[in-house]
Amino acid sequence: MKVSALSSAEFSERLAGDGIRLATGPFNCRLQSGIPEITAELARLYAHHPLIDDTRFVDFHVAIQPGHGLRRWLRPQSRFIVDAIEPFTPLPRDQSLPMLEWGLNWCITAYSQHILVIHAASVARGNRAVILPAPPGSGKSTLCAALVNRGWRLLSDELTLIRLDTGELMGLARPVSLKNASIDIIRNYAPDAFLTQPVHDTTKGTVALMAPTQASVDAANTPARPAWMVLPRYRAGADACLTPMGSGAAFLQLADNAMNYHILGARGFKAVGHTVDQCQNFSFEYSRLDDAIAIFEQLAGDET
Amino acid sequence: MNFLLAALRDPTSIRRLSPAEWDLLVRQARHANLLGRLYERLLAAGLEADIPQRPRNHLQSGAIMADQQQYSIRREARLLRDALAPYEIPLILLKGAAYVAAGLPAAQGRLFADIDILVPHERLGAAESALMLTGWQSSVTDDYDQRYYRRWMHELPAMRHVFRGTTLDVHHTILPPTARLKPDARLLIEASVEIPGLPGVRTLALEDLILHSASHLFHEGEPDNLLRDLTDLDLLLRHLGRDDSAWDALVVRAERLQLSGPLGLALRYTERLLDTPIPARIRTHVGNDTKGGAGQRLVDFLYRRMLRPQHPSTADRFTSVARKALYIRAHWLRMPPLLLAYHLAHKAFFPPKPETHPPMDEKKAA
Amino acid sequence: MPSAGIRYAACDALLDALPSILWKSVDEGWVRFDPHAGETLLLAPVTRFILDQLSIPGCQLSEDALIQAVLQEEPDADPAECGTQVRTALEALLDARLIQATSH
Repeated sequence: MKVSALSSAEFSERLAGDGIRLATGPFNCRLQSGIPEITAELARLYAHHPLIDDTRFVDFHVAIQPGHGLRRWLRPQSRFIVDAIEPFTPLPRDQSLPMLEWGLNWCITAYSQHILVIHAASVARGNRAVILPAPPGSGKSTLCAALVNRGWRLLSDELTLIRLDTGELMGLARPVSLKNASIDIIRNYAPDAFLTQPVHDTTKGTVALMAPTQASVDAANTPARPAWMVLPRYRAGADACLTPMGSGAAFLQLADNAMNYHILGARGFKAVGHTVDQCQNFSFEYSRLDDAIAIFEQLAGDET
Repeated sequence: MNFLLAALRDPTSIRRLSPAEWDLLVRQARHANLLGRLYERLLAAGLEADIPQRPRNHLQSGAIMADQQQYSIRREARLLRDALAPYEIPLILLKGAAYVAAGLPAAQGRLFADIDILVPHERLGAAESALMLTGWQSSVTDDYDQRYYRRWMHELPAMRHVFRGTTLDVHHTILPPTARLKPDARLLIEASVEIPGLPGVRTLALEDLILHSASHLFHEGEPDNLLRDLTDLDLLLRHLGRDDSAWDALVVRAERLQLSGPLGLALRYTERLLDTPIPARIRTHVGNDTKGGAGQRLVDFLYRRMLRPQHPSTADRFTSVARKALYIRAHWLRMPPLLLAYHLAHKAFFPPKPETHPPMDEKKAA
Repeated sequence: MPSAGIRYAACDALLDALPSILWKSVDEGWVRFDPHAGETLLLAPVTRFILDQLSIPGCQLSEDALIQAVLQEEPDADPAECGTQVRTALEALLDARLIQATSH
């Protein structure tokens, strides 16, 4: 049963009470909140996710709650809590939904050293995945959101997960964070996609969340093998251009962007090496989204 | 229900856990920093196939983090040795760093944040200079806290390395100078041993590591790691106990260092809670506490409450009372009464730091 | 510039860590992982070759000796070009503190 099967009254009641229990790819989450105004958008963002019953093991027990004391009403704040720990300082209450996403990402990076976690976006066509590592501001989220609306399924916009045993990628299919200019770009590019109301003045600028496509969520548990690693760079006016990258440079890119490469030690070295071997590795420059999408289509078509 | 303690005492009990109970066990273990240790315990008991996939991921995650520390600790130890060597100050590791660097069973699954070292009292200033030259900075900026540490504590304020981010605690004795018990640090330093494979890096002798752990278990004010520290003791004692005569040497050493009291308490609780095998003759020798009666029962009550993982699932209405009482007792043991009042009063004037651990009795969804 | 009298040798830390070093072949040469130092390095083939020559306890080689060794492996290589490559490789290995220079 999916989240969308709950009536809005039921959803509100659960959220404020025992919590919404759902699966996001390999992680079972329990979401609670005492902040009623996030209900409608939250329900839309996670509409297609499967619910799980309360006898199941939950990986992350998370909550978004009002600020303590005065900060509940005065310049109101929200707090992110995971199982009695608050890893962040409180944020303005209107940033509750982005905070939830940042919090869930924090849980993965803090508690999942049994997998290689890379700070990168990843999308897949069938069971072949492309990994897009990129520093902030490189346009990776815009590119990721665009691909997801042109026939690629979303694995993740932030954290690419690679199993240490099989080398396969696991998808989360959670909402995509869009910032500043990319919000309007994606609105135009994908008019049917659901975007939350933009939230201003976050540390990352203006943020809106885009719901994952139903196809992405439905296929979240289908593993994908790494087929391409593409390092994107937005440059105004540039023609879309893929340049092959040596596997050594690709290795260093992945290792540098891996959140837990050092913690994993030799396991991390082997997992990154294996990934690089399986992929065609490129650096990529672009300005127009349509051109970029066309290049990725070519990649998908060329692979035998 | 304390699933963590049950699983540590009797690993096979995990076979009877439902998914929801595994959920609680994992969270209790994480709060106690015992994920890795629990995983190693279950593997050693041949129970790998009995751990369901999801909890196994979390346990493995903890074990992998603990594993990695081996390398980083040994690296740090070499760098510390090199920093102190020009001043001819010996590097003596204490506690977790010692267990890991020396490859002791007590290193198993161990996750810790700090490195602790012991330096002769008269070389403390030189040690601090040597460390600062190599990138270590004092993390205490408040003047009051700085004076407090230097005057009353057994260590410098914690230092942090400016590039590596490691935290270092430099001790000159194992208990504060103001404590009622005064173990002689020179004896500890004399008995220290070099770690095979790490030339120039030393640790306390095994019996001294045990006595140090015992003295801290019941003197520190922070309840969060009591269970983990008790599992350290259990592993250290089992390692010591491979040689039966070492028990007698331990008792003699405890008397020499004036630590018979803490040793007695430690043996009592590791045996009671973790079934540590202790020879009957030793138990008789140290087990009889002269206080006895109601006073001892109250202490037992307090400690039982505290030797639970600090997780909301095991809190009950007595826990916050017990916690406060324990804090006061630990400080009482460490400082003369007048000083205790001064310290606590000063702290009350400063605004509290942001809550990272909400009080035990906070209810769920506001 | 005369280099007579300077020999290169592996650092102790390198020799100690030898059994646990992991290598991976890549397009540009090799990726080297040292779990003890927690370091990952990308080395060109000639750099690895030189490191391998020096990774023997007690071994000390001059720049000329190393150039000769490379030329033996690659007889068709241009000696001047080879000299440049070897010098660059030695600098990189010195910077990474894998080898040290000693006056003889």
